Amino acid sequence: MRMNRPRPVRRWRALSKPQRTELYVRWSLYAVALVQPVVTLGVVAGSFGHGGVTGAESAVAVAGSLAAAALNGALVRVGMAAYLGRRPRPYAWVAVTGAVSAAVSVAELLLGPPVEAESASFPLTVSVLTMTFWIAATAVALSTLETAVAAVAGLLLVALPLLLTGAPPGFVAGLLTGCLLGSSIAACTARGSAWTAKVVWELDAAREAQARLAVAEERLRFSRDLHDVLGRNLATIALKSELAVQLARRGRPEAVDQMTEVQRIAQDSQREVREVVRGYRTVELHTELSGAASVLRAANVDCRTELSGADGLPAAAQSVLGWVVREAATNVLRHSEAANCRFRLRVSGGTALLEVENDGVPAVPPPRAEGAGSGLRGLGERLAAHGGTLSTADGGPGRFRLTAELPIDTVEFEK
Amino acid sequence: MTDRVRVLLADDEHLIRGALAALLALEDDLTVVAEAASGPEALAMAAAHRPDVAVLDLQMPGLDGLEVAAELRHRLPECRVMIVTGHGRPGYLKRALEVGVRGFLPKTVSASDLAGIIRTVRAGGRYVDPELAAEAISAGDSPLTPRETDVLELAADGSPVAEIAERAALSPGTVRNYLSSAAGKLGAENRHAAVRIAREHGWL
Repeated sequence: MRMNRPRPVRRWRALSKPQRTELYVRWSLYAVALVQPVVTLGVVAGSFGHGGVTGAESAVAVAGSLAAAALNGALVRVGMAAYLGRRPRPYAWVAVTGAVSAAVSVAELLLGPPVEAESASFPLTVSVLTMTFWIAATAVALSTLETAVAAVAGLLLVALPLLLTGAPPGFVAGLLTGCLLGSSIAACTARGSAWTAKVVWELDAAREAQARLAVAEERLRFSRDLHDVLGRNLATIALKSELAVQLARRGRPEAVDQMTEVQRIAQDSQREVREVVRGYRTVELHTELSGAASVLRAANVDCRTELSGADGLPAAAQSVLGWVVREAATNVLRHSEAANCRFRLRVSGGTALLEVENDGVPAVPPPRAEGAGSGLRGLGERLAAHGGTLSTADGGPGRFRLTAELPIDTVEFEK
Repeated sequence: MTDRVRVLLADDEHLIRGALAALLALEDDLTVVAEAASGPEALAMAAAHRPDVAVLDLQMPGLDGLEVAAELRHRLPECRVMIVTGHGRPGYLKRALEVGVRGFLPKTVSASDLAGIIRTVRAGGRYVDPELAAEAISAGDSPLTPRETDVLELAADGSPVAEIAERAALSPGTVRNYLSSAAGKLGAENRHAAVRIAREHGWL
């Protein structure tokens, strides 16, 4: 199913969220760069039929705005990369794009009527648009100060020929100021978009760092605990084995005792290592129940759970009842006779009642050589320590029921 | 039972396999008829010797213990299969039960207990180590497959994909697929978050 998705969708899905954000921001800026030729074309189309706009002006406006937009798009691309710290600031791109934009603007203004004339709105609009979009693209690529310097330099480059051709200085100054104001707004918007992408990347990096830190802490705990457990036990095993070798060489029967000890220590170590691996997490009752159900189902035992109020139980009660669930499920698992099993938990009147019923396992398993039958007895003792009771009963023909009753400390319960 | 129980032992660690075979041979009613050091070898040996009980290491080159168990279930249904494992990953116990494994025990089980369990399993019983079972139960219902869990475990110390691929003997692409499907199932943004979530639930 995954393979049938079209390629762009698969590529999009393969991207991380910051990558998607960056892609979105970048294409929004490309789209904004496209606005320039579109608006220019609109102005050109609108000016047909009105007097004063020559074919040369229109041709320069269309070709120039297309060229400038393409260059602005490229500038946004390298500018974003520079803004996100992936490459040095693209001064050459800014200069080239600026020179082309200024050239288009100057050509337009010189081709058109004198700027103070009423019919000069076409060249003015085209040149202001061209310069504004270049400044907005520059704002992504350079620092704020550099952008300001570049903007002033670029606009002066356009103003100079105007002044030389005799435009009134007051008019040119007003034009410059207006253009600067407009382009600062455009520049802020463009830079703001780039900033969004940058912040998302930074947040992602921070979260990654946090996750790595958590991993490092966990690793530290793990290695410390593992060293505590294994270091001591391995030293004992090495010493005792050596002793056993020496005893055996001399034909002494104590070698057997030493090796029996070694065996016991090795088995203890494995248990302790498993505890370290498991960590210090506390298990919730519903986790324990869903785990029991999933393991039993894997063993082809039809397993049902009915819970009410498990989540409200205090941690201590959850832990004790969780143990009951574990022992009972293990017990069912160890015998292949059971075909179904039901866990039922009820909480009422300050008492939690957990019933485990199955159709194949005697509640008290027969004693075995592996010492596994002690589970239920230990369970009864642990329940008793919390003021609870464990009882076993026939649940009908061929059915067995284990009931654990546990009083819940109401003070703790309300916490 | 008058017949001796015919046992196949498969474990790629030959020191352990040799010691186990020697210890089981001391039991009067057991015979180790074949030994194998890999999954495919275990299948071939099982076909040739038709053992009553196959004792398989979970991690073996070629095919792992669970894959061999699944195969044996088809090819040699009368052979009971037991899995011996170094670590009790919850998913493995469930997988093992699903493919009809009758015994699931830790590697450090003593040889005399192992002999007793082989007899239990041979007689039609089932034996699951209580601690391994308790671990599997405590872990709840993990959505991850054993493979995904393995790969995520390797990613837990922050290793790059190439290193994980090497350690898991998988291609980097496969590793990336496992990691992303694991992260997807856990609703995690990236593999570090997936590791954290899986740890919190005890699925790792």
